[in-house]
Amino acid sequence: MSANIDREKCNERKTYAEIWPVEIDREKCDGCGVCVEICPMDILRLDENGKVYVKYDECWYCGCCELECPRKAIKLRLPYLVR
Amino acid sequence: MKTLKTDVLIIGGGSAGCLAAIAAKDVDSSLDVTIFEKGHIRRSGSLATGMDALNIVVIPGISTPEEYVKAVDKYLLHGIIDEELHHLLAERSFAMLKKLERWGIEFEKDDNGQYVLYELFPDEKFIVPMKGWNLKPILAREVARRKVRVLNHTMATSLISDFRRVYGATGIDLRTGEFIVCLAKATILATGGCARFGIPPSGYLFGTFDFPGNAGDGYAMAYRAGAILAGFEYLQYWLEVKDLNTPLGKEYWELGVKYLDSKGNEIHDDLEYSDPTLVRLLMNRETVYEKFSHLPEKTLKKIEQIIFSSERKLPIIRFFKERRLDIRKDLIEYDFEEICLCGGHGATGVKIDSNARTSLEGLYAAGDVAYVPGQMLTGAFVFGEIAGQSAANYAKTCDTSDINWDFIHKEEKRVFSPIKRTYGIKPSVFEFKLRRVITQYLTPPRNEKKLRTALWWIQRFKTEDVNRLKANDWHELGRAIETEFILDCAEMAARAALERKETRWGIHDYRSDFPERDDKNWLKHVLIRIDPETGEMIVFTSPVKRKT
Repeated sequence: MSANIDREKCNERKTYAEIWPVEIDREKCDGCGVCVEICPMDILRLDENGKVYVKYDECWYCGCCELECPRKAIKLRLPYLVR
Repeated sequence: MKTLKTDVLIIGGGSAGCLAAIAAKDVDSSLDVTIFEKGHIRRSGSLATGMDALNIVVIPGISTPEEYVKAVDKYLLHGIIDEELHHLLAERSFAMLKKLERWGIEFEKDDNGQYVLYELFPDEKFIVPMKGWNLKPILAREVARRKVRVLNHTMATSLISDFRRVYGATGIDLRTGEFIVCLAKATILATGGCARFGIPPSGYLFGTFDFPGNAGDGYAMAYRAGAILAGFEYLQYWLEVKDLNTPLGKEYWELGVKYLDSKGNEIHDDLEYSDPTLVRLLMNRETVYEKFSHLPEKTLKKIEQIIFSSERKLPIIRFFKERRLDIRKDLIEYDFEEICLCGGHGATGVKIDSNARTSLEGLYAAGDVAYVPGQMLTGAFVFGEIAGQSAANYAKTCDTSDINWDFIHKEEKRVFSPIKRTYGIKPSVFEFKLRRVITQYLTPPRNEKKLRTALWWIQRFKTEDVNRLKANDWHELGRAIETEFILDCAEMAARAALERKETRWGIHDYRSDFPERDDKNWLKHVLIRIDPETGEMIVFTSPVKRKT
């Protein structure tokens, strides 16, 4: 888990989770970081609780995160502008 | 700053890059091979979620390389072809299929054990379907098995060049911000095309057909290093599912699907290769509707199975869910969504010869960044392999040379300037403005006045805006550097379009001031290179060479 987490910024991002391209099950996510590592656009990060969140609005909606997540905690929905 | 020395440096770990790394190691396993990968090699590039077919396969006994060359020229390239390269691609395509089979990719066969073939061009069958969803993890496994050094989350920023020879590349670790100098005996560009070019009508900058991490990095770096490029007047531009911007597949086209215009009139012409029909639709701002509801349930089930198992099945499944689409009753809306530059489906790239050598010594190119128009995935694999072999053989004959460290220090300063500024323009806002100028002035139909207006904007962006970009973290710095790649690509596209005073490929290059094809004057490639003395862009032409 990265040490430099801007809590305020994370919370602001989470306020608008509705428009994120993915749905994240925060119960299932154990912060293994596989999706953070393999996302082709590199838009995912872990928050202060070690759970994944969408840091950058640059998703290509490929769904690699969903394909790779070992706990099925992340699911592609599509970015709001495309839905 | 970190300095690395390697025998073969490959920029981009996608389809072409992986094949290049594997081939270089197979020439000589003692060679030191390094990959710069912007994302993570397991899932990167336009092949991140795999591919459902190998699009160009010439199976001995069924078709010949000559037949393929004739077909690609007739339907796609319209006379602007380097026959030798396409011949080579076709010749090596079946061996490539066999290689992929050995690595565990399953290709579809009929009851007699023959490979299933679908039409690539009207009445020309070169597509072999495959179960390729795990293609990228498989390629990554083959790369790892050969002990290639992979630098994930590392983006190249420039080629180290004296305009004659290339000596490696500079890069940046997008997670730590470390500046990397990689000195290489041979360097291979495998960076893909420029997917982030026009803005899709949804307004979403990253909703592109090709992988949006490809921002024309390789085109711009090769140009700045002094290489010759070609085909920038040809835009990848076609009908895509509106907003989704991905095709649903191709294999079901032969199953009786209908295409309608907005008045409900059926369009009988081929919607990929019939230039007059496509031009008419574009000029009339027509939307095209795909109709399935007249088909029997058995066929509908088969079509659904094809659509929902294509290489981009997850976005397609979720799109149908969000829009509540059902092919039993709904029409699927298609439109001309976005222009982009690509050597795979389009015709733009760094010029290479049959050994994947560019015009600069020590620099090779393969995949969407290379000028083998319409080469598709098979081309990326075949020329990736050729580039790996050529680069390995070249690296064995030479030493790492001394380089110009002044250039390196200047490049480091340039790369980090958006982070060091206190105030400035947000890279995403600049990208929006740049790409809306590209959309407005470079999208066909276009004319001299529009193209000159594009150049006015490009000049202003170059002299003012790019020197005022402000990035807040390493990720955003990467995006800022990418906007400069897009900007160079825009200039090359505008200048090449001004040069070709005809319309050759219909919607792909339509000039309303020169709407006719002109074989007398324009059976030529339009080429671009930098003038090393002045830094100006030079546009020139060369005649089409036929295979002897």
